[in-house]
Amino acid sequence: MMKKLWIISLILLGVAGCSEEFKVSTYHVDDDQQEIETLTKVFKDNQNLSEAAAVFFDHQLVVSVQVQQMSKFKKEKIRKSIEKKVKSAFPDHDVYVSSDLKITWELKKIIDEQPTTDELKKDLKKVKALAKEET
Amino acid sequence: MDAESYQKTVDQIAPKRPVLLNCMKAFLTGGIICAIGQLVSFVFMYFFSFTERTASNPSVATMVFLSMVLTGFGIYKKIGQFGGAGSAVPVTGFGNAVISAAIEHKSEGFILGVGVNMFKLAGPVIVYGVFSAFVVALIKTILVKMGVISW
Amino acid sequence: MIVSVIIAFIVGGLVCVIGQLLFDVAKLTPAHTLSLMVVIGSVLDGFGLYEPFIDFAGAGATIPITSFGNSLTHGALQEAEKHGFIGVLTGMFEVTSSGISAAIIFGVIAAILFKSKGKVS
Repeated sequence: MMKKLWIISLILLGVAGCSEEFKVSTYHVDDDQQEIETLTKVFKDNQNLSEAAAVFFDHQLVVSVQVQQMSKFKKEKIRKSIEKKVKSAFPDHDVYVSSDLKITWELKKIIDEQPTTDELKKDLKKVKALAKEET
Repeated sequence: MDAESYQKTVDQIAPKRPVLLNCMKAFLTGGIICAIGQLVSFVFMYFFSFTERTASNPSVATMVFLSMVLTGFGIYKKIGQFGGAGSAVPVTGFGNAVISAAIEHKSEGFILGVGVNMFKLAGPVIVYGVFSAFVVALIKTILVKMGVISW
Repeated sequence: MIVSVIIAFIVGGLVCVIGQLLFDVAKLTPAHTLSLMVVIGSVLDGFGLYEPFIDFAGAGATIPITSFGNSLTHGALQEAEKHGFIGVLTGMFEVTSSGISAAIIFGVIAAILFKSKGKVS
């Protein structure tokens, strides 16, 4: 009986952990607030996200989203729907959307460091190569 | 005494397996092993360039390495006595089966002992894993070619 | 991140409970149980259910032996998608090798390093 209570409380803890504040971090080289707002709106429209990060650079847009624990079964579907929406919102950008935690970490690192254009180019290339790796 | 009543007597005399207790032990042991695996994969993601997807391979290898150390010092056997399926089902149990067989048959030489006996216990897992993967993939490929389902 | 570890603990634990029930209630031997679980993993991947399970549970899905059947099937399906029927045969070990190769390598190393302490189970 104690065991059951313990498990239930753990699950509750897990659920509580998911409903934390939704965070969006972005970095735009040209600091175009309007574009950032458009993107943030796409994220806010999806109820399943817990965190999002995005980097704009020279008509490239690399996005990573973290899905709430209870929605993780549908992670790939959610990623695809976000990708579709972002692509239609930014038709002139080369859009890449990932749902991998590592990519979120890397993008947040970039956002924290605010690197110069040359470094950013290299970093984004690295992130994209990482995300495309399979298995 | 016919077969049926014999079985009844055996059931009465033989100690009843404490199923619930065993399940709790298995849950605890297996859960801890998987939680360690999750931590290991976070380490690979944080300090090396592995993604969530690619981190699982090095994590599995690391868990097998841990299993080697524990098996070599005879600790995994004790975990197995406590955890039952909780220690057998995770990949560490697979590693333990291979590694303990390798150590045990060392005295018969490295080819005839270690090489021959290594997969004595773990062999069925590989054999039926590969065979069922073949069947499943074959059926799915046929269904896709026939246009019943898509990838 | 803590949530992921807890989920891995719970889900991995539950998979092991299924194994224990196969031991105790269905009275299967460990070899039968593990073979059955690998087959289950492989069938689940055939229906495309194992990848979402990994997305949800992380190591709770990749550490149990069921993931072994999943990665074998996944490799075969990936190759089949590219090369048709030949891929079914050739793709099998594409994804999965790490568990088996690690077991072989560490098995030989263990045989060199450690001495047998009587009967090892």
